[in-house]
Amino acid sequence: MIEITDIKKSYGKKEILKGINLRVPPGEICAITGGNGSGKTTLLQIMSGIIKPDEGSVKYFGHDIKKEKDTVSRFCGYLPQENPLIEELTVQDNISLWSGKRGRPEQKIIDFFNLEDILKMKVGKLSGGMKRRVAIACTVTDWPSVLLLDEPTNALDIYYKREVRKVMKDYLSPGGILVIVTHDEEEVKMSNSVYEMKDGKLFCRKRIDEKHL
Amino acid sequence: MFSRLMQLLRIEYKRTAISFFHILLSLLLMMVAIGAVTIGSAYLYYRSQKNKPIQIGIAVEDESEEMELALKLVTSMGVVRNLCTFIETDEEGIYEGVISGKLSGGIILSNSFHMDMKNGLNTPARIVLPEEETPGTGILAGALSAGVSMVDTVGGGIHAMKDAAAAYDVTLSGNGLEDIIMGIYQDSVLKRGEFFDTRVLSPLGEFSIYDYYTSSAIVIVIMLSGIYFGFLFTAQNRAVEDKLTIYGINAFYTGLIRVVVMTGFVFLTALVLRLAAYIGFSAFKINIDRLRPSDILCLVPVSISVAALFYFIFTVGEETYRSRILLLLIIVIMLLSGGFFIPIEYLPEWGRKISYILPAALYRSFLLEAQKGALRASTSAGIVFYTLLFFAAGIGVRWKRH
Repeated sequence: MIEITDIKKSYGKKEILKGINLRVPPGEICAITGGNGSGKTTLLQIMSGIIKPDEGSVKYFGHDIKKEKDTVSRFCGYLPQENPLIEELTVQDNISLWSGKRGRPEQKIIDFFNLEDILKMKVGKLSGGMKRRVAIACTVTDWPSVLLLDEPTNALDIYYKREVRKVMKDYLSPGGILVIVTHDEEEVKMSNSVYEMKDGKLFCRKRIDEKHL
Repeated sequence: MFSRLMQLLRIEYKRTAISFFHILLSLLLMMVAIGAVTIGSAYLYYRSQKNKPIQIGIAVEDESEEMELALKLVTSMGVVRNLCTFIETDEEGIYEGVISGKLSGGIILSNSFHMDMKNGLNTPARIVLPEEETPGTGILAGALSAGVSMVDTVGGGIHAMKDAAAAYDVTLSGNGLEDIIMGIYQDSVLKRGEFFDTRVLSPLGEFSIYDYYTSSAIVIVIMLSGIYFGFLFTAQNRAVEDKLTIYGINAFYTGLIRVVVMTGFVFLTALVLRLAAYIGFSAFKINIDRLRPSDILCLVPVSISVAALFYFIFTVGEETYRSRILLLLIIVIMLLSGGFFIPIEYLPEWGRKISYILPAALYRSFLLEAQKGALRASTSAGIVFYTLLFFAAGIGVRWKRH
């Protein structure tokens, strides 16, 4: 369960988040939509512990990220908008950075993301979709329960979008949680709950119990 | 966290090495060009000894013909001409000139100077120096001590001759003795030029041309090599940095790793240049010193400090053309005001002030002093100060952006 309570964040005099409350139960995909600059990424960065809120709390399965510093790294995998990959290096090197282990990655990761053929290739030589796939692989090296994905299929063509969505669906294990910041209709459709960020507040647009997976 | 930190260090080294080898050719070309200019400049400078002579005022109250001839002899000597320009003035003019900084020093000779010398009296000659020591003062002091040594040598010779004459019971004619003394004096004066040939006495102080130009070239090359490190600060790297904070690897650690990685490659560049300069200068027989371990070790603190500077500039400007231009601009200002092309002593007062604020001149001073084993505490403190300042400022900017 993710519990976000009364999160507030300002940059100077500009209030970005004005008291955000959100609860995402296990097994759900939660989509957050909204216009550019509405604060979606800021919320996700707060949830991932990259930036600190001015007020409020974020809890993963009852663990407060403020009080227990390793909570985020224990429960969360975070995919930023920009691929957190080092283009000059191979896929294997990039995965080793995020897993903290040198050498060949876990076979399960290789198989799941179909990385066998590109393991020794430089990231800079991969296509956009493949890079995104590798970026998600880097995000899940520890098989976290919660995935926070910031526009995971942005700027990809239809083929790669489908591929990345399939990876996301396959990954969602029983009890796992996916939070996606997105503008994509398909991703909105496949989500259990959809929230819209507007004027620093979060409005619920859809909430269904039945999974569309 | 530790395992990821180690992986990050390994990965940053690996990709910097890849990029380094990609730019190796252009780096080598740059080094060869700067090395050639450096060796060429040093060679010309060394051979021609075209130092800007210091201005020395001379007030002579003794207007005798002998005195005039003696002064003409001294001032026409090439070795003196290269070092000093004598400006004839009066006592008041000397004091005014020294106070205003127009003169590096002054010599006031009394009206009985020549007669006193002739009669064997220890006649006073007043030397006027500025309150604060300047490179010009050092040159004057060196020239005076050389002159005194010269007179002592001549005096010693005369005494030896007189003693020998007394021992063999030989009578020396009074008139002839004067001629002999003058002859010995002139010979000694002219031979004294050899003393100045072994080491150039100049505004560089005690440092040789080899030391000065090698240190300057190393600082120029390692500062210009910073332009190549921009790839470490791309938007994607910021995404990596952001994500690393989840694992407790914050701006301090990522900054530290960047500085460590850049230091390694900056040091490598400096080391290659140091060895190349040593071989080059030795081939031209300009260098008379051996390569010592201190010559290599002193590159480490400078490399760290320069890497911290790059970290700061790229963190402020990020990987954009703006930051590269910013870096280039800062480097050019530092090099121009730091005495890399024109010695600091020849810069106007405001130029010197700028050079004291910017660290490039400090880097060169550190290399020069460390090589001579005469490292001043203020120079070391300056290096530490700038290193910490740039590193802290870089981290501060990164944190602020967060």
